[in-house]
Amino acid sequence: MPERYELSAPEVIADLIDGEAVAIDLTTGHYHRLRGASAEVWEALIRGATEEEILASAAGPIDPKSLSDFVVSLCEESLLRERSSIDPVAVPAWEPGMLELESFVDLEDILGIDPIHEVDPDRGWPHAPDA
Amino acid sequence: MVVPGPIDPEQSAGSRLVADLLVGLEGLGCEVKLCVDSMSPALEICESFQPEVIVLSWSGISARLLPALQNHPAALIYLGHDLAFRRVAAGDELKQPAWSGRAEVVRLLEERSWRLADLSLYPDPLEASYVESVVGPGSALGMVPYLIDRDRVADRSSTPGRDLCFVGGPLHAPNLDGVEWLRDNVHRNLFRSGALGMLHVFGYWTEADLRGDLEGVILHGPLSDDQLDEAMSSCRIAVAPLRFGAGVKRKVVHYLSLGLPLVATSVALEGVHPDPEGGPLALVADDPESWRVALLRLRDDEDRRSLQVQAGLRAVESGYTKAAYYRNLAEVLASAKDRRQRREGVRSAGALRTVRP
Repeated sequence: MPERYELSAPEVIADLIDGEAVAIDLTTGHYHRLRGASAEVWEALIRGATEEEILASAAGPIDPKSLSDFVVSLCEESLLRERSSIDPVAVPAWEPGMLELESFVDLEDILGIDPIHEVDPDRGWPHAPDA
Repeated sequence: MVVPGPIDPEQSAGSRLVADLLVGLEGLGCEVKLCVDSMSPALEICESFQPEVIVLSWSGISARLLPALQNHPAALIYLGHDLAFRRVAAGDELKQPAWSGRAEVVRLLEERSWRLADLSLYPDPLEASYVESVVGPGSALGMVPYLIDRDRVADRSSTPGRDLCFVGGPLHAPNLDGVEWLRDNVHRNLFRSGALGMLHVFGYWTEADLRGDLEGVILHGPLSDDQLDEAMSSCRIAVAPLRFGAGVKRKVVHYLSLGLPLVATSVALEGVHPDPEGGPLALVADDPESWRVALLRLRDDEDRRSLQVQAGLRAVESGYTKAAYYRNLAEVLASAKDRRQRREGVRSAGALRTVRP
């Protein structure tokens, strides 16, 4: 696994909304919510923090495996990619909690379905194939 | 012009908006290239074609491509269609999805497009004003959305019968919700009692699209423009039972241009160009009883039917003719180029715009 990550822009855009992180994959139309500790870790990751830097800034005990699994889930959804720079990142203290990526697929029609790769072969665009 | 996929003007109002814009631009003497993002590399085409203006339709496309186009010399126009976040918010109020933050997600995408484009376009001038209130004066303009063929405009207030017509594609959530709501809460009882005839639903519908039974409902599949207008024109009353949505609804302009008496929700009438003489474009109904009363009135009241149809035809004549369309489009292009030049001036002065990836 890479040491440092960044947002998979421009295919993915992200922002904070009312303290919750939101990431949108514009190629699939899938969107993701990260709350609480998940949002704080997400923000640190897209700024380039390593897992070690994030663990070191935790204000309480945390299982390193839960963090690794969380990072894996973000990479599997193609939200993160490897960052070329290796500059250390200062991570604000954060309160450990459940690390979870909540994923939604119910806005594909608005968020950017890929008409070629996600099209129903019989009905054509913009009909998405059945799951 | 960059669109997400092949356009199908007979199937969706969004495609119709794009198709009319293509015709309008060519009518103004522009050389236009339509770039289907999924089939051809939009950015490479923009580099090789060197257009003066790039129009990006669909927020998913524009939010992805606009960051890469910031240094392109062309003026960048985001074709907004409607404020989708408002449509999603209104729909979610009715349907209560798993997460109430869906509208904010859509807004995030739309606001990104507003801020990265030189100009955003909305058929509803009030929605353009909203964008200006967020991004700044001059950042958005209202556009004349549709080129109405004046040959098709006619007064059909004397059409006999008791049938209703609805037009709109099933993939647009407000259409599906509106048809099911009208069928279940208003039409079925009136149909069973014989007070009203069939509800014709136009717009590429299949039985799989509509939940529940089809009693009193006729779903129509693919039709050409001529076939559609002819079939709609044989109905006594047009309906627009949209309980949520945003922007100008093409179906309403279509009904008015066909000279069909209309019952509509207040949501459906948002943004429609008014009759310059102040006449009523429709009977407005937002609950089942109001709908029942309005439908029965338009079934029987010939004076009211004629009053509405004449008002609708004047609204179409003043707001949706080719002259109005071309005048507006020329203003849009000039404004976009002007804003692009000013952005270049700001850049030359060293105040580069900060773009978050």
